[in-house]
Amino acid sequence: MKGLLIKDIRLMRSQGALLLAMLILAALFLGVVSSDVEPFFVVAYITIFLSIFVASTISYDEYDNGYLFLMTLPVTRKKYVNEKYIFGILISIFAWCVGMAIGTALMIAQGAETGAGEWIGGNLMYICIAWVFMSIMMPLRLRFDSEKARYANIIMFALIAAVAYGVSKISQYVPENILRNVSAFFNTLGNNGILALCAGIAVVALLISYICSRHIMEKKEF
Amino acid sequence: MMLEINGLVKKYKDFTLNCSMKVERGCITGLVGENGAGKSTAFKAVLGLISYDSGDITLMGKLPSELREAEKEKIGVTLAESGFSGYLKVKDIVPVMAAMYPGFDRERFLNLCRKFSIPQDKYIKEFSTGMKAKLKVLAAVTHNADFLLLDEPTTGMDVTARESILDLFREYMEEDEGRSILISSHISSDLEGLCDDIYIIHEGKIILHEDMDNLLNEYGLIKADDEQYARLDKEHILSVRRTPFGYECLTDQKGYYRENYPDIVVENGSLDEAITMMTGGERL
Repeated sequence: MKGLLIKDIRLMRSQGALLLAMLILAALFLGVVSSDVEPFFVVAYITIFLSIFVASTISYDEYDNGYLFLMTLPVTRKKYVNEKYIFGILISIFAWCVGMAIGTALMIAQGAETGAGEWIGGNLMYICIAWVFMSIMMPLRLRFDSEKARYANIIMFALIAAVAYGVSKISQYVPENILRNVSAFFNTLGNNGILALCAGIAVVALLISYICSRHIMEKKEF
Repeated sequence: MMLEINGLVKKYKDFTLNCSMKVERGCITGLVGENGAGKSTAFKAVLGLISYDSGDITLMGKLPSELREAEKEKIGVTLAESGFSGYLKVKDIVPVMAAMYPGFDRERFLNLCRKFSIPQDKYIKEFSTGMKAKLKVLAAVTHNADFLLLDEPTTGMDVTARESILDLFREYMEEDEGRSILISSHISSDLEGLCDDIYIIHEGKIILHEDMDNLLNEYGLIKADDEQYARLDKEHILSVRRTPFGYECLTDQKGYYRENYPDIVVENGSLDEAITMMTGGERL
């Protein structure tokens, strides 16, 4: 597992460094030039984009038929999946820290008056979103080769958008009193409660995703 | 026994592998056959990378599905069309190997890289075919493995590099007499000077298994015209091929024919001839 992590960190260092630099530059550019860009956006942007990149390290493993050789090393299928998820979680935390540092600097520069609790709590939500994205992409990437996975990703995100749109439309037809109750429920949760709920959803998504990935990897023919 | 394959069957839509073979401890066993004969499929099945329909495989006493890190640490593998990710450099591979293999000899690996002119600070995807092949072999022989599975390890190498790599295999075997190698190659001369025994695979089936010494010393190619062929004792003929001048016959007892048919040309056998005759001729 340690060997795999070193490999992915090395891959990330050479391939992901450029992506991270671009993300940071773009974030700073957006923040400085158009001062109406929320520092929250900067954190979300860096955390989610870099986390999505984790699934693409599978493409680097796959490049030039490399998967085959990788699995002849002292690596079991189970350990390979474990490592990908651990690496993904580590990278999302790293990306979030980078995003937070830049976002905080921007916030101070812009003189925004967001409280520390709201700032950190609000941004923690983005790690949860990044984990949900990762949960969707990881099994897809393991199941399909890079070309097919691209289409699978597009279809998956289109489906999510369609469901979100559908849910927002359905809310118009839901009786007023139910909506009021739902809204009241979320209000009672408070900010911390909502954050905990999101974290719960993200962890459940990761768990389901991990189980799917393990199953896919067990069945994979190289 | 290092590796034993009994009645392995792997069916694809247009190809079926059906083979049995074994690799003894302390031996170098060769596997030859044309492209698509089933060599790589056999390697993949042994390493647990593909499922198979029937048969038994035991690698160092374990089934392929039972291979865990501890067993894999004792195996060195090179595959014909696969290697380290092209997005890594040699200097990235060193810590990966050190973390994966407790027996990895970093100094030896780096020295060999220098000896074989493998750059450390260049992406592997920019390497030539020969350089990639050399790197794979160096990684396989420097982590104290008990068994090497080498699928076309010398592909793309020039003659000098090939000879040096074959010497590495010989050194590897001399270091510990319990070690074994299973090697496939389409370059017969590589195998002739290296292997203790050889398997010829054709269309998914093993069609010949022979000790290398026996093959080189006892096998012969009989060149006979129609009349000579007609009176030839076919008892020790393995395969026959029609030529414009008569017949060519592969025998595993050239001495017998030289003694009893002094007027017939019997040339010394070679692995190339054995392959050509066994795969292209009519087997008797």
